[in-house]
Amino acid sequence: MALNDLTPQLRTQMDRVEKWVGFFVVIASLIALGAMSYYAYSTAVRKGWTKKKVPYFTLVSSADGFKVGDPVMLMGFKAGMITSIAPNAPGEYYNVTVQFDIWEPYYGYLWNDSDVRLKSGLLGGKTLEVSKGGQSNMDIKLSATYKEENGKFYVWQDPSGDEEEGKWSSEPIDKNFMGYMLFCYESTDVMKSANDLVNKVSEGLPGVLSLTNKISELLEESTRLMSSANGTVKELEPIVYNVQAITSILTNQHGGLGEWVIPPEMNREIVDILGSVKGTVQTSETNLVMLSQNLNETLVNLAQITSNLREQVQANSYMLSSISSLVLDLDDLVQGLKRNWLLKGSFSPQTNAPPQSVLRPTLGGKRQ
Amino acid sequence: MKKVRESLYLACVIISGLFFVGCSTPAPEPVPFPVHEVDLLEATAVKVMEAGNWKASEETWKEVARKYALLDRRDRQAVALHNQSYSAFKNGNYEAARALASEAASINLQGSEWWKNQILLLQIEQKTSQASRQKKMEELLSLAETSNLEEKETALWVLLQNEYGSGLLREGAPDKANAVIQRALEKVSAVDRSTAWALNSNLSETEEALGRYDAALTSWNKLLEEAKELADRELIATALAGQGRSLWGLGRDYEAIMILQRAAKNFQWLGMEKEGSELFELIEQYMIKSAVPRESNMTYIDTKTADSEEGQ
Repeated sequence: MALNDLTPQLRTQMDRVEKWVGFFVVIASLIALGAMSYYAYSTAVRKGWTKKKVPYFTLVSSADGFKVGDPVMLMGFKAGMITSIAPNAPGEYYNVTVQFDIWEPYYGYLWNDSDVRLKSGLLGGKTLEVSKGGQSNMDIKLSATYKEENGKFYVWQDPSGDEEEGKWSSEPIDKNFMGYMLFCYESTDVMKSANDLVNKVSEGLPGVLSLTNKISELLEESTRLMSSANGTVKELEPIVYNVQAITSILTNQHGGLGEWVIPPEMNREIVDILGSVKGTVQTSETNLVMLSQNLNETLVNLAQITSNLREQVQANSYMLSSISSLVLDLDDLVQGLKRNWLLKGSFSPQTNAPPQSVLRPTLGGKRQ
Repeated sequence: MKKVRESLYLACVIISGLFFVGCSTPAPEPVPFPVHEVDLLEATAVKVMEAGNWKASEETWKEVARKYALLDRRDRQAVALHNQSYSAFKNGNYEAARALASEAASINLQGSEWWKNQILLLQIEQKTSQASRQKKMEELLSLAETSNLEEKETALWVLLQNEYGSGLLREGAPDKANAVIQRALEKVSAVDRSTAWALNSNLSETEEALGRYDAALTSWNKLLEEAKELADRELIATALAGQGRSLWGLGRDYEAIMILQRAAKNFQWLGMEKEGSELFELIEQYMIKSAVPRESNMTYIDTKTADSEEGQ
């Protein structure tokens, strides 16, 4: 319906509404545009698009753990970003070339003695970390890697061949320039060995600790034993003294204790009695050994019986638990069927009226 | 492409169907175990009572009442107490029955259940104290009149009138009893067949008492047929007894004694020894009066017929 078809009042009202709607749309569009702009700016800042940057590259044995866009760190700061990861030719010593950009002002920290180190993350990722120049104690002429003149970057060329000193490139770098090469220290093997060593030490540590615990316990026991022995020795001192006194008496032939207490006849009888007692004790010992053997066998049989009983009880308990599970599962099944719209009618609750009070009329004038 | 589209449609239909079929209402709330337990016990009590096992019925209703008391279901507890009282009444424990019915009435306080309790108390009083029964009857009749029980609870009013009429019959006022029961029979449509049968039975007895044996015999014949339809052996025995008494009144002594003997036997087979022995005493009195040789008559008992009636 066209706006002209409306009444003047309605047309005025619609005009006002249209104005508000237009205002709202404009405001909303501006807000959306602002948000998008801010997002684009923050992304550009995050990715270093707004900053000056210079290229570097390094050589590593494996690209495992790297990906393009990963940050390059310097002194804990995000100083750049990996731009390319490419495998080298098969005959080359190093396997992979990793190119990265370093943003301003961080490239000023990188000198010709700077290097790259690989930092392993917890989840298997790796991070490139470049080191600040001037800390290597290398016997070379130190220089920055790049210098900027008139808005153009010139790269430092290290000496090669017969050259004694390095020099700045005569031409500024262009887009095709691969970058300044930084040596990469891949100390992964050493780290791995160290890690293995630490792991082995960690594994062995509980054993060592338990050994030291045992040694400690042993020493404590020894100390305790020595203190007990000390007490015992002290207690033995009067006994030794008494024994010494008795033996001194016994050495006296006339009035010696044996002769005085036990006459020769009695001594003979005692020897006979002791012989018979010895025989009795030996017989008893034999009987006791046999008895203990029989008792042992009986106990073994009893143990077997109880173990059989235990097995039976266990088997029954398994059976009972199985039956119990079956009943529970069946109950679950029926409960589930009860909820199904198609079947719930079959499980409708009983609608029988509750029982009422029973009252029967009296029959007859005499009977009841 | 077409096949893919058809397959997608089919998959959608199947998934929708499964969803629709799988749609379910929330599970009903599970009945708590104590409630379920008392439901089962109550059903058992009803079955035991219907079977006429009054001793077991008394015990079971006692347990039901206890459990309802624990669940604080006072209304159901009152019903259980009433039924326990009725069972005790049938067992001859009149004092216990009176206490239980009174307890049920104290819970109900008013309403149809209270009236049921009161009518049961009337039946119990009839066995224990005629004086208190009469007093209670008067109170109830007055209350029924003022509360318009005839219109509100017609069935209970009919039952109350039946109690009143049978009481009058026992007190030796058959004409009044006849009038009361006749009036109650006007509202017979409000009660079940057994109650209607009882009313007609009591009316027939009033006819007997008034000496109208023809009418009584006709009525008893009809009641016997109806009792057979109801398949109630107690009613059959009662109708036979009524037939016998009416026949005796009509002078048909031999037939009367034969039928009375069948009725007495039926009561005995039902375990209603008291009713059976009362009938045997009546038969003996009739025999003495009619001078029928006792031994000769006893040989003519048609046990086959009695068996067949008992079987129904």
